[in-house]
Amino acid sequence: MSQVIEQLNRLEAELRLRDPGQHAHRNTVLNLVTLCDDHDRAVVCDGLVRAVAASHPLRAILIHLHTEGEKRLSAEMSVQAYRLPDGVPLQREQVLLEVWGATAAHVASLVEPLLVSDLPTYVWWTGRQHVEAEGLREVLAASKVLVVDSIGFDRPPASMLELAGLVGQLGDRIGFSDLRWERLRPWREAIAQFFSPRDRRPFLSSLREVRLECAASQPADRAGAALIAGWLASALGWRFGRVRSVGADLTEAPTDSRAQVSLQSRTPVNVPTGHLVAATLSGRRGRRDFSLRIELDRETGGHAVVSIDIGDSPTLNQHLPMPVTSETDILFEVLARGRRDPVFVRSLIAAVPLLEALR
Amino acid sequence: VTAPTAPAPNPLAEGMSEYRSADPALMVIFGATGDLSQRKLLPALYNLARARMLPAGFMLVGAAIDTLSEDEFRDRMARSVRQHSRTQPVDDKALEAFLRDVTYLPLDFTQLEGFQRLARCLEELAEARHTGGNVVFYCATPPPTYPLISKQLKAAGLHRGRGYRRIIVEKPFGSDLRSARELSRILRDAFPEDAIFRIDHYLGKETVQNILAFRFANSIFEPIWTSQQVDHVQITVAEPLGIEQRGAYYDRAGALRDIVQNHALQLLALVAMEPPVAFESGSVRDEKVKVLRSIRPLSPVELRTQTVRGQYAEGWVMGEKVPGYRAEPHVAPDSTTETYAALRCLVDNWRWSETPFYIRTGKRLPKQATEIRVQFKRPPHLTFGREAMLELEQNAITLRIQPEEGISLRFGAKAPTAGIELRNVNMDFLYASSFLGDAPDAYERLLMDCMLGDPTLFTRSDEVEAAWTLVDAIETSWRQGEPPLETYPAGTWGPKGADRLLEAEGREWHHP
Repeated sequence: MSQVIEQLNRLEAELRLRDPGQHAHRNTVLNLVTLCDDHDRAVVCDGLVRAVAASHPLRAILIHLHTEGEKRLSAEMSVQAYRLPDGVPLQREQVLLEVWGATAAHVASLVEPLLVSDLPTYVWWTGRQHVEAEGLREVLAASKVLVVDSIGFDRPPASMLELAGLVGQLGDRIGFSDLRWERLRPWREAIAQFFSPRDRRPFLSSLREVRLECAASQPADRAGAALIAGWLASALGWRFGRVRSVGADLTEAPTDSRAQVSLQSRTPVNVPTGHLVAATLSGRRGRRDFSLRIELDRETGGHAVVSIDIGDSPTLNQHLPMPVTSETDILFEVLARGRRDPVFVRSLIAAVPLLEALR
Repeated sequence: VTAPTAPAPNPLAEGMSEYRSADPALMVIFGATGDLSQRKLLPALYNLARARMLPAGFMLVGAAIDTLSEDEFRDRMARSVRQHSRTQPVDDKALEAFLRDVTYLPLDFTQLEGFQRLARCLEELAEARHTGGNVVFYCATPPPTYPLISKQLKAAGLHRGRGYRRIIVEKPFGSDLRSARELSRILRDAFPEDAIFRIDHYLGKETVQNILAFRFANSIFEPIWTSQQVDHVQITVAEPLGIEQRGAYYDRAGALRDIVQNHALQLLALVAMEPPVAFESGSVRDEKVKVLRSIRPLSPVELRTQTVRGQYAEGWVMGEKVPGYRAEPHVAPDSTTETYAALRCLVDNWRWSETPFYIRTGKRLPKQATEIRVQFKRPPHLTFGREAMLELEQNAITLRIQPEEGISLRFGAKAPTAGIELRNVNMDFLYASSFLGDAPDAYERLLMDCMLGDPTLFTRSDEVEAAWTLVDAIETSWRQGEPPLETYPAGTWGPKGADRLLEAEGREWHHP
């Protein structure tokens, strides 16, 4: 590792000599440590991190872990200073480490010397399982945020339950982010917005049905819907009753507020598996029925149709932009948004009964 | 009788931007085919729609004198968005979806009948779109039409109803204290003060808002932000451009009314104000208006010696030869309108006692730069000797509003030589490279603030009047030829008198 650090310093010194004007504007704002446990994923993550770094000054440390084989390490470093099209100077530094054998279990000893001091460290765990891995925990000791993408887990409900366990243990000290949670943001915003006007606020306590539909071919693919249901439950103070499966395509959960929550599978067409395709919330307040339905327009893509029915008024249909967001953009959002997201943490915890049923 | 209780906050909105929680509303833009609408407002609304900021049910009603069909208006709007949107390329699907929520109404502002038609249209839309009667009226029209529009809205009963009714007017708010008061009186005859949103888009800029964050969210700067430590403050609003196509307006207004009365004095207020109790409209605007009222009135002698007015002559700007002001289109050949204004003011309060604030603004200056430079006093003792400190300037914090938004701290450091030699070095914070994502345009922010009913970044009538009180006194003196109008070659930093203003006190302008 001392050679790695030496070479990194040498590259920086060279850059400083070659282009002092550019280097003067070094203003890295975070460390991003990306942990991968398979080759394909490492290649993809390398591209993603490069794309994020292209518009954001960070030190990226990408570690490809091989738990088997002889103990060894290979490294590749790059330091780059450049200007954005609008003239803003940026610098990015990237260290690629490939680690074999016993060292892979002590990855924190590789990460810590490479961190730029005084900057927040985000750890992006891209593995498909084992969120509770010991090596990851060690790295988290020097980190502020753990980022995962639960849609990429082999068994999303099981790994999300592991994540919920980790939240219970480390939630006071570090923040947790899930790229899937970010993808659900437009849905959450549209639902929250419906209840924003004062005269609709009472509808919240009069919700009777929540139906969340996912592009899914198996129950585990409905984990995103479970997260939305957990969000509603934690915000509205619901507790889920006995969760039951109705065949392979439907999971139902009553709540102590009389609202019935159902998570439903829809055949994936033009929407990636695991993604939400529709949400319906309805109820009755006094003599007025109300309902909000948001449904992805799967024919043309890029937006959802929002339908609002309140009382006897005609249905209001509106188109809501919901562009397909790239993984780079989502990661970018997560890094930009800050460190702690208590709403995500509470939603994940509240979704535990549903995730257990989907497991 | 029990007071109505506020409804509990929306628990689903936790963790989301407050901008996601605006109530559904209709927006009417008067002058929807005009330049401001096409260049700024419609692109801003498109970007809000694209970012899903506009509440479900939102609908835009364009209103203007032009006889256009709805489709023609939408076509025109689509062209404007494509040309002027800050986000490029334009998202066709988002634009198409947004245009579905746009309608157009030809309207002659002098005819009450048109406003009555508008009232019927808004009533139907409110029902169909569940907007609860909320309406924002935006006057994107020449300022002389504001009183007429306000009166017609009242006559048609549009000034109140179910939901809120708010009106937005653009600067300038009057052309002097008297006309500003008259405008406020007419607007208040139809709308309460808290429903009148006077927009100065400068206040919507991220970097302007960051002045407050810089000062009041950091404990290290505020203790030195006083006359004990600060030698003086320079506020510069420089433009390389001439007056473009605005000759007719500008020749009546001049730099003092066009920039100093609003932008420059707002910047001064933000830099000099005391910490507000909270970042909310009442507190922030109360503190700003206290500063404006604390500006010491200039005596007749001071009006002559501490203000400078200039007009650009022919010269070279950014490699181009440009004509003098009097040769510009729609400008009188013997015009005495100033294109440059500089002044020295004192803020008479405990914090700023006898600390000069120098303001300057001008057209056809060498470069675009809006910045506030807070220059600190020299250390009381030259520890390293006079020789070592020869090249050392005073410490300074520069808040750069545009371009290259950011903050610089200038301080002295030992040069890497054998002896002790001190040099100036800068610590730079660049806004754009430290934060991810695009900052919203000022109009996007301000339109949403209005829909949320948050007037913090809008100008209140007493602020406007305090600013006009200062500017009117200068105008009166200038109309009497005191001080005389100087000329400066285009592409230079203004008339000689501006340099003398600072040289008289052993200071000099910082060149951005």
